[in-house]
Amino acid sequence: MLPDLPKLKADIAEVFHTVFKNRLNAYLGVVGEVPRHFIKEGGNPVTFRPDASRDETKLKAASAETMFKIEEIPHLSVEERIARLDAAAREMANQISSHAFAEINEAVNKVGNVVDAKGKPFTAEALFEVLEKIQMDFEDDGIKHKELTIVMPPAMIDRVKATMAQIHQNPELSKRYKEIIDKKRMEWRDREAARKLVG
Amino acid sequence: MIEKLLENWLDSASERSYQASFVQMLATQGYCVLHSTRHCALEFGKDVIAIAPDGVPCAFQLKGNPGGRLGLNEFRSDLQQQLIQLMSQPIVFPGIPEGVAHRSFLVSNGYFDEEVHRAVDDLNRGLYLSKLSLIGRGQLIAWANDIGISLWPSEMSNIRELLEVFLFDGRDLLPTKRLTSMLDEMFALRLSDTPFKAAQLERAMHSAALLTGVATHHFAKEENHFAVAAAWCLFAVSAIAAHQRSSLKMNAKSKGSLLLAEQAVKDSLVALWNEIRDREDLTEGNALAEPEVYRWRYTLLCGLLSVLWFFPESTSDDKERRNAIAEWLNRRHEYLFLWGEAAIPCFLALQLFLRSTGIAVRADHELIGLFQSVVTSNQPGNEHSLPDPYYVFEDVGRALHGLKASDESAALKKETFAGSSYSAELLLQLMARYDLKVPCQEGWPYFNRLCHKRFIPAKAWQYCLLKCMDGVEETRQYPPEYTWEKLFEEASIETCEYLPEGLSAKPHLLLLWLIIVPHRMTSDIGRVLDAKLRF
Repeated sequence: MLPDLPKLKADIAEVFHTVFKNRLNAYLGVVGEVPRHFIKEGGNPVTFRPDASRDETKLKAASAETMFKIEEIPHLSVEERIARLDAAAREMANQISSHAFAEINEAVNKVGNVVDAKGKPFTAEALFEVLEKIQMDFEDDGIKHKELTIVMPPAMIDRVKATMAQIHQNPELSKRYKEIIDKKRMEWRDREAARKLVG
Repeated sequence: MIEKLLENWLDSASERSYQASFVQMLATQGYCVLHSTRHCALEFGKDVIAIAPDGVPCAFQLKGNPGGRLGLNEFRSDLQQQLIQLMSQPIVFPGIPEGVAHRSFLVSNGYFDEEVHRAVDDLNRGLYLSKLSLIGRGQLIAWANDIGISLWPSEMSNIRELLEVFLFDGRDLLPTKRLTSMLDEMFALRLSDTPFKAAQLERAMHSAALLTGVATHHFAKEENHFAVAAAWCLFAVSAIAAHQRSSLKMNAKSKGSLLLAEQAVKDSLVALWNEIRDREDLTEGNALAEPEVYRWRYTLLCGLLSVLWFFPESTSDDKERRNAIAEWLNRRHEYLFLWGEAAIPCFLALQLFLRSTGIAVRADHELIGLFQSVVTSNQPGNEHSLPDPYYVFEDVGRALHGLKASDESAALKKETFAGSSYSAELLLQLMARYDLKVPCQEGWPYFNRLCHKRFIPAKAWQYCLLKCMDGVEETRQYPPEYTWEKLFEEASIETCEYLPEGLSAKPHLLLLWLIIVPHRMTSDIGRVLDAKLRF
């Protein structure tokens, strides 16, 4: 072999790996904010629901490749390598996000927890229908609900913002929104109150 | 524990990685080793040719059976035909008397099955020119004990060094400090040691040779040629230092051991060259971080190939190889990298090669460029000055890229290199030697603003130490006005008081030593090398 400096190179590579991980997290967006758990042992993890149903989480590998041609190695700048890692991070983030949303779709379809607007524009009614379907949690004081995240295509952002503004400005819609939240609060209280060990 | 380590080495060594130590053991037994090389194997599997103490020529075939046994099936299918030829064909080699029956040996670092012993008996009853003997694991361990592993490092710190070198990542650079720390103890090269007497020195020589082979066995297994060459170079230089310190001439056995070490250096450099020749690229290891290291490696390879080119030529293979290396070195080198003053010996080696092959105009141009780079980089106040030659590339790389700092790279950040240089004086004097008066005059103001540093050991043998506290770090400031005649006169001196005689006699080894230990490069040493190596 030719003379090499594996320890130095491993440390340099670690810097690039950190850049890659940061970019990946940035591209993952909301999926990247999902709480993480590392599986230290075993194969596919399993969750047993309160109704005794068993959910097995199927693991899926996500990978991205970046190639360096041997002849370009001596000239490759840091910026060029970061650009390639950036492309790889974007590809990998796409794979992870696609898989995550596919899993969510499958789960909600299975229990019928789906609101289909059938191609109609986003409205306050559609949002109320969604809120009715989901479970909401509240802070310990029971006043504020925990933050909700809406994932949408970028083209819908303006429309959703306008709808939200409309709900707050229109007394009728505002009242309905409050009613839904109050109902959700009651459901949350009932859920929390039911947590007891009896007998 | 050391016995266990020795057994572990033998049980995991390939034939390539134990050959260098095996020939050292032969030398200790009084054999005169004539041939031991892996890059131009002789016919019929004669890996080693030697003359026994009783004058009988011997041919050895080495086999690697790490931790295993050589069984009859393997013996019959892989070896028997070769061994018959080994036994029946006379050794034709310079130094081997004609018409003298030789002895044949099959050497293995494993065990031989009983059936193999019987098969060898059968062979020996045949009418072949020579008889075959077996040398197995037990014999090799007995020889190793004979050499005196009791002389191996005994201090706890050095035992730790031995284990660390033995377990070091074989793909990395040789941990030179650790190896020399052990060699210093074995050769009594520490300031507090009493110099060895002749008999002690001879035993230390063989014992240290074995230690060098064993300690670097992972590097040999990975075919990390530079690391192996560096280890044998450190051994050779330490041996020279020990003899210089004791004011003793080497006896025949020690000379033999030194020559074998030199041969091991050459073998490794030849293997490196073969790899360079056969590869389409010079990349290695992790590709993501390769661009940061590639130009360092390229520069180092230019230096190492120049050193190999200077190794004495003894066979027609050597001549052909030198021509091929010359062709490689004569091409345009776009990746040479002056990353610190520690890279200067590589440039110096290439410079001497170019001059020796008569490419003086290009050599002049490159020397002037190098001188200008050093003096302008290190002008007082320059923030991008070259680190001094005590810092290796790994330290410089870590500091440059803000990586986890080693002790050295942390120190590097605290030092100021601007305003001084360890190599500018050598480069200026070389320019004067080549009569490059105008570039000297043009560069003088820049040169003159620098302080010129060097370390001069108190005694010549201390020049061979990696670190020496007995000596003086000199800083020379030149007067603003200087005469060309005086510069030329100083540049013409071709002697150096602090260079050990043994090392002065082996300039190719000295050049390699400078690549490994660049802070031993001074203008005095550079002039000696120029005088001795340049044709």
